[in-house]
Amino acid sequence: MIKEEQLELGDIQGAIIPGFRKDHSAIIAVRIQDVASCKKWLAKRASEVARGDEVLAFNRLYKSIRKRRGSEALAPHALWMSMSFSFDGLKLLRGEEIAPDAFDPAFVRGMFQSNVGDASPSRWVIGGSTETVPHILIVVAADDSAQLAAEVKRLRATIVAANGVVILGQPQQGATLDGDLRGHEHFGFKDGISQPAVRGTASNDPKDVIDERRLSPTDELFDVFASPGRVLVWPGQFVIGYNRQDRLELTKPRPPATPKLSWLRNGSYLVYRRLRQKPHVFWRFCTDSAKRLSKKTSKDISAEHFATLLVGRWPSGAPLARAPEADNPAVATDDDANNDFLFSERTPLVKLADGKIAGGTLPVASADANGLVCPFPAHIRKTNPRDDPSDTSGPRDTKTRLMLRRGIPYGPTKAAPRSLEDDGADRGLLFMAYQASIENQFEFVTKTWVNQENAPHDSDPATGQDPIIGQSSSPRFIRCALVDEKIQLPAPWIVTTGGGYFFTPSISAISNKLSV
Amino acid sequence: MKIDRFSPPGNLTDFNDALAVAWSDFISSQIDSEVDGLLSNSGIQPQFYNPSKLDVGSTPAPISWPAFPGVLKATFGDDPEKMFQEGEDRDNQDEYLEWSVIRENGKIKRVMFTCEGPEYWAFIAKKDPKLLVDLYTKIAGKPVPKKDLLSPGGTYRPRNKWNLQFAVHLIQSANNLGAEINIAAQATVLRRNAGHNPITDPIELIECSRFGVKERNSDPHIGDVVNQKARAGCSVALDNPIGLYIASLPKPADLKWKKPDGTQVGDYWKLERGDTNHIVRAVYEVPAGEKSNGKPFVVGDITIEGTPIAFGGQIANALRIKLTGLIGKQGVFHNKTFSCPGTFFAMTKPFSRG
Repeated sequence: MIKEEQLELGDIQGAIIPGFRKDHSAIIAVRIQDVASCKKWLAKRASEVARGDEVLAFNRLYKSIRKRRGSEALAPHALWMSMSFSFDGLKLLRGEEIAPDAFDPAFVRGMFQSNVGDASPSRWVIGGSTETVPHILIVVAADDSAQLAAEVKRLRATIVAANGVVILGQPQQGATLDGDLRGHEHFGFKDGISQPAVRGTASNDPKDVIDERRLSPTDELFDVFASPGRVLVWPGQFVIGYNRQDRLELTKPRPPATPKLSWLRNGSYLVYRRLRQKPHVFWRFCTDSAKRLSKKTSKDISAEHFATLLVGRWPSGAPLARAPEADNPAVATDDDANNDFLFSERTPLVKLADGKIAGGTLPVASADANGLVCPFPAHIRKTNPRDDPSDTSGPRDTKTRLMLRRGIPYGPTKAAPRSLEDDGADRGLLFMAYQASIENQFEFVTKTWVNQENAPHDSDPATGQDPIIGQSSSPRFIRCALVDEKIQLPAPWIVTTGGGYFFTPSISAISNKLSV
Repeated sequence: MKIDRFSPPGNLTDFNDALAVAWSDFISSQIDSEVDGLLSNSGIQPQFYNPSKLDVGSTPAPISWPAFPGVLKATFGDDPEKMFQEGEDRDNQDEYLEWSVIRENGKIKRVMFTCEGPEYWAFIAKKDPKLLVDLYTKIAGKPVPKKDLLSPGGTYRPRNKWNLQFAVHLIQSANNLGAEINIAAQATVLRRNAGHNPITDPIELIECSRFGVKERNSDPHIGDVVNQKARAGCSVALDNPIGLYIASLPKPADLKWKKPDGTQVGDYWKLERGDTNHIVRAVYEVPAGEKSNGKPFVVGDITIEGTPIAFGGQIANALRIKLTGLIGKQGVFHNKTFSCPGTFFAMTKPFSRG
């Protein structure tokens, strides 16, 4: 058994680990106008920022109550807040100490300056220019929308009273979708199934692991996966100051990075992207393509099946790898099956702690080294190629590229998500992800894989960009085994309309450095 | 289809027919040497083959990787300036791409990239010293004295000042065609670990077979793709022309690099040797007459994501390098796995990327 370190969850913001996981959220963008006033305001806010240990304690309590009651009815409620800072924001607060070489290079230059494929930052709602990048990004999250609204109102009042900080625009609301689409994004696909598990304990008890271990200790993959398919990653990939994932090792860590500023320890980098989605465009294309390709191939291809080839999972969340021909709700709803698959090699069966085989009798994923089942450009295969060969040395390196995703949809749930009509509503995803290096994680995945037609998998002809989020100056396309054709994609159905790169410091850094 | 003759890398047209035949024979003998080595070491029919001698109905399969050294990214990634500084040393450029920089008034004026193997140039030096001098003169744009390239006894000096200045061909010890052929050959050997399970992880494979440096982008990836095909029972060869190539020259709209006035750069690439599918030499330089804010500017005035280009490696960072394999049908071979070799075997390999 691998010795894992204790994380200082009392100092790490709870938004990073374990993550808020709330149905309602508001993002408040703040600019600093007077540093002294801001610091006074920050000093009062520091104790309001959610700590990792309390969020973890709440999540554990919530889970046990839900399990005992068999439902979420009368479940406890919580309200959380996080605070993150842009490079310019830190510079205003800490002056000359904030030198570019102490931080991740992507964070220093900012998202609107980075070539991740976004068009027209000048038209962004937030973050598209130096003047519109928030100095401080506050994320509030709650189980109850009324409680969230009250907290946002309270925070706004404190900002007004501080007389040295201002809100940019309006708070950005986010909420899980309604009804059966809860947990899904606006195209109708279940989201957030695959997350890395963080190695580490919440206390000095080695059994008090942050992410539950479901594999049997006798299974040979016990040290590699927290639960079937959920890979264990050293915490230093997400939080500064801890053992990192070594791109050449299976389980042995790389020593922690030593930040040039000691107070960066327990902090993380946040990528925030306001992604507007156009479900009518997406489903129009899938519907038209399914009809056209059905005729061309004499097969009966549904719009849903075609859309699934683009994503890599069925709308239910069942991965193509385990449900090649049709959706399989049983796989989708089994958390020991819906993420348990490899791409290239045959997926081994794993034994759970209770002695059972994970996934029971559900169909397993076969080896798909040629991309015949899940296309190489499918979104989930592009962003996390798992055991596929990759152009930067392979699966062990791929683990170093993973991020902790903490996003939430925004905008109204479309009455009929697959409707081809444009109801004109602004809806999409507030993408948020934490990592220790934006340059080597988010930007690497986006620039080197998602936006490229021939990476991480190369072939002749190339298989195309990520059809869901890929951006390119050349016309986008995909190839898949369904048909021998370069399927041209229309203009992107996901457009960046705001965002930025931020640093989410430790609680003590906010108290002892940023507000003094 | 069998390859009639191995073309020069990049389909270069430097050779007359006699030299072209001799080059093809040279490459063929390199491949045969690897195949013979595999056969004598393993005792079974190798899956690596010579496509000028066998036709297995194969299809081409490109294998590409980021051109900026993975070793440098892993070592200095937290300090980009240091990383790019280290990248200017030709001996650190170990992903089969090397570059040299010409500066004017301290700013970069021209960056020259090469993927040409040292064997090609050594071959020319031996067979046709006049051609050697002519090619060097053409690349340098000025007369190159023969004595700078060849010793009085006629031995070629690959690390001559002209190559160092103009990046005529690869000189880093691991960057050569022999190494490319060797990795492809060695990676067709199926391996098993101590637990007798087939090795499928590329790092485990390269540690076992020792055909390269695991910290690089190229070696583990080439090994991974080749071995995956070998495990599927395919034969594997290298496609003609055998060489290493810049995968493509990135378009300005994808690069989004900026001129001093903040507008997007134009297409400042020049493909100097090779063809569009087999680029062996490319140069990045602002054309004469190009202006920004009404004034001429140079490469060093261009910014990448807000940072001026101060090192050639910043441009290399936008490139990918490729080779093309030939992959036969699945399921033809059912070779057994081999345990990891000891030190003796590792030492007997003719070219080691390690």
